Amino acid sequence: MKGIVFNVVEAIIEKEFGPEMWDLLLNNAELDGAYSSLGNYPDSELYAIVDTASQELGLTAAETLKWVGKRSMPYFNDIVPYIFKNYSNSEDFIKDVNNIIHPEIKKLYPGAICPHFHMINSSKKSLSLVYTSPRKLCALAEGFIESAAEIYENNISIHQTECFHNGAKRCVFLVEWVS
Amino acid sequence: MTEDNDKGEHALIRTLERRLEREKVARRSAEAIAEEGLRNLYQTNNQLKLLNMIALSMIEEQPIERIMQAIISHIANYLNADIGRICIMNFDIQDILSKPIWYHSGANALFYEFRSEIEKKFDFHSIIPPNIENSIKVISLDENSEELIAKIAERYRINTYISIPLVILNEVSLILEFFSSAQYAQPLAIDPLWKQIGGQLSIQLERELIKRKRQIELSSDSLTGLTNRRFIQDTIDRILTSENSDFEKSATIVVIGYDNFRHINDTFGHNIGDKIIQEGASRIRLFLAALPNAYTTTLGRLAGDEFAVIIENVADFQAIEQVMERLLLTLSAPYKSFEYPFKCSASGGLVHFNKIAKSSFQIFSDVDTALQYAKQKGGSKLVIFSDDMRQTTYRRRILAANIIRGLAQDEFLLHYQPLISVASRSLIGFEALIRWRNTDGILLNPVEFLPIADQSGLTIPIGQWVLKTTLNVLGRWSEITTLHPNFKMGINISPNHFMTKDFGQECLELLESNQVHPNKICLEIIESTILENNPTVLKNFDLLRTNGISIAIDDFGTGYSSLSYLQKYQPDIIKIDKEFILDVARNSERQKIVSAIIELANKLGVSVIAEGVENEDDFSFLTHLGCDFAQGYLFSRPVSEAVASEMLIHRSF
Repeated sequence: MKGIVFNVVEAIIEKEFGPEMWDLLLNNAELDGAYSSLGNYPDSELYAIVDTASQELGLTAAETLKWVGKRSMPYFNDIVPYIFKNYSNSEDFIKDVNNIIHPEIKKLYPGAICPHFHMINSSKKSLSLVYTSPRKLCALAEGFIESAAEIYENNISIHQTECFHNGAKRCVFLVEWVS
Repeated sequence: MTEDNDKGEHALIRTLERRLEREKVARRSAEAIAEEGLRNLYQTNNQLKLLNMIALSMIEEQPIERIMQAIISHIANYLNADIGRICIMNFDIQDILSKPIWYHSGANALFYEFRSEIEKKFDFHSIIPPNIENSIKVISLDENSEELIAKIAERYRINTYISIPLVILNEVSLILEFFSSAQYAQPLAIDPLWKQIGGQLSIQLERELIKRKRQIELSSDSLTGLTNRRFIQDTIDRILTSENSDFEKSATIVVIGYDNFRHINDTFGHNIGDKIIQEGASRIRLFLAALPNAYTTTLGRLAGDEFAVIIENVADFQAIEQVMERLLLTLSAPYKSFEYPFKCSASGGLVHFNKIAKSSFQIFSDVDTALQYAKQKGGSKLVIFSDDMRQTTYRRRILAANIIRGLAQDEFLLHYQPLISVASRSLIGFEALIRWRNTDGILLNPVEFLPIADQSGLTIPIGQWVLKTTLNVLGRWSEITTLHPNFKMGINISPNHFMTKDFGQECLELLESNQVHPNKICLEIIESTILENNPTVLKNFDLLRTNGISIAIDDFGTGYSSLSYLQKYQPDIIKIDKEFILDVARNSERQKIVSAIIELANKLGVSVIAEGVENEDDFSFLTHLGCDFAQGYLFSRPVSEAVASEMLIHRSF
């Protein structure tokens, strides 16, 4: 997992609960927690942080991931503002997400695993977004989508129609833009 | 103290916090700098990869369409575009690329409909014209776009349009267009990259243009502007190997040649000949242009006066044959753009062939055979090739090959038929006659091989052999021939041989090298040799006569027997053909002719040889008429060199 994701999670936790909470989560998860945006870290570290956070917050892991995702975009915007400036609305941003994530990840780690979002039924007002990643972080992705809509001040409705965790082979989100 | 301590601890914590904050900021900015560098490196790397891929696709020896296809797909991958297309703004390049070049990733399900709509509406042009600076353009297609474009974009779910104008051959010759359902974020205006790609493509396309130009030059005929033999052959090969030509459909090739075209060139010069070929070419062109569109025709000039017409997808053989007969008539009409009109008839050979046929080599050979048949049958004919002709041609070729071998391996020899002075009935000389003892040991007479030698262009080497061999013999006989002051050796010379530029010189040199006096030989030519007023023949004739070599007209009476050339050329001797001599003593018609010829010759001061004298009655009749010389079985058959020299020594035959 890219260091930037840890950085964003850290920033969110600090913002919501103060730096002590981040220290606590790292302690509970038994991690030293030095994450650079340039680095790449084991996925298990993220899962461990999510687990301890779930316990502290009294949420399920999926709810925690979604909670983090929903708050994430402003922090990404702080780190890579030039990406957000290229789009005028969340629809364009989300539809082009493969073109954003892949170059950003691959520039650092040519062999890195990238999530791929397959877009189907693409039209002006709705989008079926298919998520297939061995990480199975669909809840985080859902939170990201909601956060992206928020940062561009767009209203969306999002429904997950298929999920890995319910035995499906993929996760599918139906995203609709509500004007 | 505690308060102080607390204050001190707070200050320390704040200091540490500030230090931590500084460290964090330093780390963030270090990360940002590193990421910026990595991002640039990534981009540069991708650009280099793209350039490298493009360079690699150019190195491979591939058809230009394939190369362009590879290039458009590499660039599309680089840009992450679903569809790519090359718009061509340069006519020369349009000529090179036989089909539009497209790429699609498979992501757009409506690609094929999209392609046909774009091709129909925009042809080779870009859907949005390039901007003035000719720089790369990334346009989001939405409701703000021009109506037509917006409609297309919506129908085919295209959100982004990228156009990259490439300066090639010093102008914007190509515009690469890309279409994508995705929105584009990355800044793409990396002008040096596109300049570099344009430069690479320029080299490739220039190379292709030069290649194409050279191909056109190689496949066209400079005299008529038609295609040439090579192109015709390529066309046949294309038909034979074409993937979509089915077995039912057939093609036809016709090769057309003028009858006796050499006569025109020899008599009136190559300028006139060339003009007739040019007019012939334009007549065929016009004729073919007026044919119904159903006929796909290819016209070319094979060589000299030979044209080839290929007709593809022939359904009705007879109809084509009739059309081609009409074409021959068109060519045979008088050529009027000269001082006086030329009449020059044409013949044609025709072969129908289809894919299962044969090689272009075989087709050329067959059609040539058919044309030779047409000419041998007197010309002005279209002959359709049939398989039995191939047999004949095959035998002819084998024989021709054997003749060549025979010449090299000394299989030819000369026999000598005594020539008798009629008045004294004594031996005066011989006529040298060629024989061929082939590998089976059979002795062949010239009638069995000379016609084929003539068709195969072998009369000149044979004639040269005869001339050289005869003069060698005369050289060896120099002593015994001094016993016969009026000795003459008749040597048959074919028209082709006599027409060669150096023939006169060749004779004089052989006489010289063999130490033979010119008055010892008499060159026997048939009348057609001098009938054509060929300037080379005239020159040779004069040269030979000036040097004291006699010339005889052979087979007199069988051809035109024109009196005008007798007067003009004044040959030394005429030889009356044996068909007039046979039984002349008992045939009053022949008597009239022979006596008239002898009388005429006497008056012109020309000697007469009677050929084929076989009995005493005919001989005494000829004696009575005052014929000068005779030869025939009455005196002797042709004999070997040894026997002939014995005859000379003993003055007997």
